[in-house]
Amino acid sequence: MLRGNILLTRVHKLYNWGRRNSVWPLTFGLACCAIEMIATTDPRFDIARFGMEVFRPSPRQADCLIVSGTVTKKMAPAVRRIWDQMPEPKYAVAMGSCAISGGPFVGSYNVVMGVDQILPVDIYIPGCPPRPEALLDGLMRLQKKIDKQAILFKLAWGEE
Amino acid sequence: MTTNRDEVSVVNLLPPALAEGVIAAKSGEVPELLVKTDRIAEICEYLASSPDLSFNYLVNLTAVDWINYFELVYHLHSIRHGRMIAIKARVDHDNPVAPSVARIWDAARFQERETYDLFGISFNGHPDLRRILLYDEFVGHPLRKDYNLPREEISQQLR
Repeated sequence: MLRGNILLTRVHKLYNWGRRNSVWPLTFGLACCAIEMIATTDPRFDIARFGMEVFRPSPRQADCLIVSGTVTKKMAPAVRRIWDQMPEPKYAVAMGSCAISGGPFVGSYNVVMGVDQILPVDIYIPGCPPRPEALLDGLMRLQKKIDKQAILFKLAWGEE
Repeated sequence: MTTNRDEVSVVNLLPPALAEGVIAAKSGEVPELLVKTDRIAEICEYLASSPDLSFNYLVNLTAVDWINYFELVYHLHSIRHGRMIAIKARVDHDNPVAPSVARIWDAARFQERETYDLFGISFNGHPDLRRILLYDEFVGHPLRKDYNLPREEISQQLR
């Protein structure tokens, strides 16, 4: 009776399998990259294939911050606060040239030269703006990164 | 410069006391009036409230830095009559002050704040004149032609 109904695996592997297939991003757009991010959610590109279609309106419920656009110096404190409000484990994706390095705004008086100056970034997606396929590629790389993490042990025993 | 009264109908509709505040006028699809800076508010008040003109919609309020002086530009639209007009006024570069039109059109509140933020032109009578696009600690007014990025800012960006 038990044959075919038992699956043996390592706990953190199972745990990461669940985590990487339910990365909920935050509903947060800063500029034109956000339009591509929205396009990624529609049926043509279908971010739901990766379990990421659940865009959360609250940072308390989100796992992933997609910084999609130009971070101005006036906006920077708000971005950092949103990041601080997200519960661990959390991931940041810098989408597009502006979020990576300031992009076309180098020499500007009001643009942060890359969002990595204010928060730790996991994945950089180049493009201006990146096409939805590029965003999906970046998010799949984020999934691979999550797969390699041993977060269950970190939470339980405080070690990697 | 004299005002060509036959050419620009809007000037004809102004009462003589206000018409003398007009320095120059230009006809066209969007007529232009160059007015004396200290008369902006009363001329705008009349343009907005007179039933013959009723320019009740402030489309745009901005400024241009012409090095020697700033030029304020007001684009007004009359929804009732379906026409537009541009009001221009020159402001001294060293002491840029102009009367506020925020009590005439509420839309001017944000637009005057933006012009103050980026050009440093103060508007007398504005209820809440502070920066709107840049952060409060920002030094300088970046859309001025003589604005330069601070040296330490440049070296920080070229990390």
